Amino acid sequence: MKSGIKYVAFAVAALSAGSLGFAWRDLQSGSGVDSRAVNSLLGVKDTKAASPEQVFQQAYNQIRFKYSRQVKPDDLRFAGMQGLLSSLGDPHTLYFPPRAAQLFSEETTGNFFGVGARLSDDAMGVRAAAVFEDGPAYAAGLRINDVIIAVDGKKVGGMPTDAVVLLIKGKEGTFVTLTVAKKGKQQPVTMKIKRARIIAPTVESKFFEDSKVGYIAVSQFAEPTTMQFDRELDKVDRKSPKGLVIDMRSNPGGLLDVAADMLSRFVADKVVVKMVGRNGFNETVRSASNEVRPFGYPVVVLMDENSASAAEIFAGVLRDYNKATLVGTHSYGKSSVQNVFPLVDKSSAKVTIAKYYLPSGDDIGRKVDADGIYIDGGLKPSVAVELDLDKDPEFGDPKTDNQLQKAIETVLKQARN
Amino acid sequence: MKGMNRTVVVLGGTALIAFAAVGGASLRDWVDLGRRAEAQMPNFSGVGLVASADANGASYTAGDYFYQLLRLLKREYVEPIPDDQKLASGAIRSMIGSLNDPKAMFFDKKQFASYQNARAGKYEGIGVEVVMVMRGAANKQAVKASDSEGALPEGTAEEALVSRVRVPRLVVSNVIPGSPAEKAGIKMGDVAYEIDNHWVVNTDLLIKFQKAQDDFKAKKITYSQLNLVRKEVRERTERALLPMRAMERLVTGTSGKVKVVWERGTDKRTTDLTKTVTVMNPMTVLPNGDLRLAFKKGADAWLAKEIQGKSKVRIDLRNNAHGDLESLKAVLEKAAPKGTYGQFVTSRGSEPMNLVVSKGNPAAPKYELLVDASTRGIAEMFALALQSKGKATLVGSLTGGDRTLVETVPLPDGSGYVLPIGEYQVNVTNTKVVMAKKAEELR
Repeated sequence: MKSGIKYVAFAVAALSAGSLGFAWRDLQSGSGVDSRAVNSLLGVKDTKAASPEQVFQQAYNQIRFKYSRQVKPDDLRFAGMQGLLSSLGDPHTLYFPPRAAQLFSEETTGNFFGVGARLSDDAMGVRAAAVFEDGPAYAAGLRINDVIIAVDGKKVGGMPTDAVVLLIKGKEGTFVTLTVAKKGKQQPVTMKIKRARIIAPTVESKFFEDSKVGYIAVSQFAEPTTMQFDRELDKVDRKSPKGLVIDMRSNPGGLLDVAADMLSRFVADKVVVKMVGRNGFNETVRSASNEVRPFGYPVVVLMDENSASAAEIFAGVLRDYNKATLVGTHSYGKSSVQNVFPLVDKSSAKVTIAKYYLPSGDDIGRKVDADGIYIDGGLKPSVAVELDLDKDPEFGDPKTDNQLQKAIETVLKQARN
Repeated sequence: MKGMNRTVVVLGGTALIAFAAVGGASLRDWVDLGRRAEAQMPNFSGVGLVASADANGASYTAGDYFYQLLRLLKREYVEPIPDDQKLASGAIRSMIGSLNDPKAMFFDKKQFASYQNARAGKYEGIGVEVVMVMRGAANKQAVKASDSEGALPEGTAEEALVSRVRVPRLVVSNVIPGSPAEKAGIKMGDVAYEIDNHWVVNTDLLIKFQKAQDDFKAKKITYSQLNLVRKEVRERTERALLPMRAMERLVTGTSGKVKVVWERGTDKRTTDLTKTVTVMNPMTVLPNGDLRLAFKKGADAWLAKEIQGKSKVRIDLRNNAHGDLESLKAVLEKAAPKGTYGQFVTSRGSEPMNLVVSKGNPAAPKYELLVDASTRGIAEMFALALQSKGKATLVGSLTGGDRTLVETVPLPDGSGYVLPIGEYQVNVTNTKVVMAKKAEELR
């Protein structure tokens, strides 16, 4: 008899596809029949107390129609969905309303349309804090510390930097004219620059002549990062360094593929991470077998509490295979894998779908108390050193950055042994 | 990556805490490991909400949207989801938070139980009631933080910052007689500044920091002076409590200790208090013959009996902040002659709702109502309604100034929320309080 009922339910659900759009798709995708949809069609009353979605809908209606002030329905719904996802207690499962979802996607692809410069405040206009060597602005002659005083003839002195950035950004292939004041020159220079797809540098390198130590800072793991990492490694290698410091501080992570690629420069065909998800989902990521570079010098990885996810994998794998020493403070402690589900209204849900484990089997998951205060988790450094903020440190400057000083000291000590 | 940027990160941390208070979501760890996993996982497009060519978000009601997202989580989230109702409550918590209104509050299970107990006259914790007061909000309330809470000058950086990150301060609105708080000398208007060595997050520090940064840019202060402020921001945010959590430590629990640093004007002082239950019978005849009235179910019948045949009745409305509209209406039917006693208005453009006594009590007595700043909400409306028709004289000091009508909604998992649904307006000035006797003499 039971199978008979099931059959009816199935048929009804299939018939209902027109009015209850999602039921048909559920069947197609092989998931169970949506019992709520079937019940509502058959007029079956829920015998239980209010279902969670009813409870939610009631509160939503109450706030929308009874609250003493007007609220925007979409904002209210977005807030509700944010709460739904964050109530799992997992800081990495998040809901992005449409606008945030778009920014998020721009961020992970590492590409945006512009002229290839990073800008900062200046009393006269905006100052070029960095000019990307591959970008059109560099080709047109813009250099670091130049001050942009006008954009397309419009004076930008006193405007917030964000607003100036909006003026400069635009459609790919269109032109923007910058009026630029250069130090030591009386007259400002005018540059006509074609906007292009910019690959933002995620890797920067330096070579410290006095200690003969190379320094590579990786700010995130985006699509172009492996290529940029190789290029900066080549630059450093040409100087025959005594050691290398790879700076993962403030690196929030990024794409796991990219981290695995970069690790292939250190270890061949080794386990990078093991991911374990629901329903037996299980996957091991390995490094490539023929990409190893000969590192003729010791390597130190610098990290801090803002090093997370792919940055921790990178540091942890090098530690587990004895390829690097970790210096700094404990890392953030993110041991989970997320997938981004784009939703119909252009919002998206980022959901933790698996946990990962380092080659040593370590789970570095962050543990916090009820107030969100760190208790344990993350990678532990072999050489612990806190950043001395009172020295006004500039990351990558051995004069003010005491963590970097320690890293250089550590790598030189190893070079001598 | 200058030092300045690093400080901005610290500040960002504070801002995030602040947003977490109102928004509920953490923006930590923006970038993720998504792409690879996506390539390896089965096709997701079967889930209703996930974008596909034929789908259209507009066709979903909020409830359906919630339902679909819940199903997505159930299918994909790394761990099984044990309690759906908890997720519904989480969503509601976040909606309430998004209103950015200190009078709209969400209580988790433990907090809501304490709140309901307080409504019934059983006060947990240290025996106070607290309200959230937004800095910069035009504030007509008698109960406010003891230092100035006036509006900020327009167009300043402070104003811009405050409008972006609004975190209310926790202000004592009622000290229950006989409670540990009363014995320790806590007074209405005291601000909870630090609890169990955790700083109670408020906007003041952000403003101070912003100002210091501006002053440094303008070369008004030195680098080391800026650094001192930075250090303070860093230290405070490392051990911080959001206002609702801070409130919980004061008003829930019946045992254990709590250490509080209070702010009164520019003074700070520390108390070490033992939590207990302070009972204040909300509906009773006091030894001196005064009535104490609670605006809850059954109050109308009780009052009708107590005032029958009397020409003058005195009601003590101090320490009275709770109640519901239905009970207020029922009480007025027994306590006052028929008429319209003011109205409830909203800013959403809906019709004002009159507070009407339809049959009323033609033989109602004259009232003397004992009030002070702990007379709030429904009790304050009751006092003003009777005063507006010349039926009552107010004695004591200014009422709390809280005339917001709120609705209390319990949720299936034991949590609940409070939602403002209107402001009470009546044609009377709240200055005609007869300061005949000092409050102490009236007790």
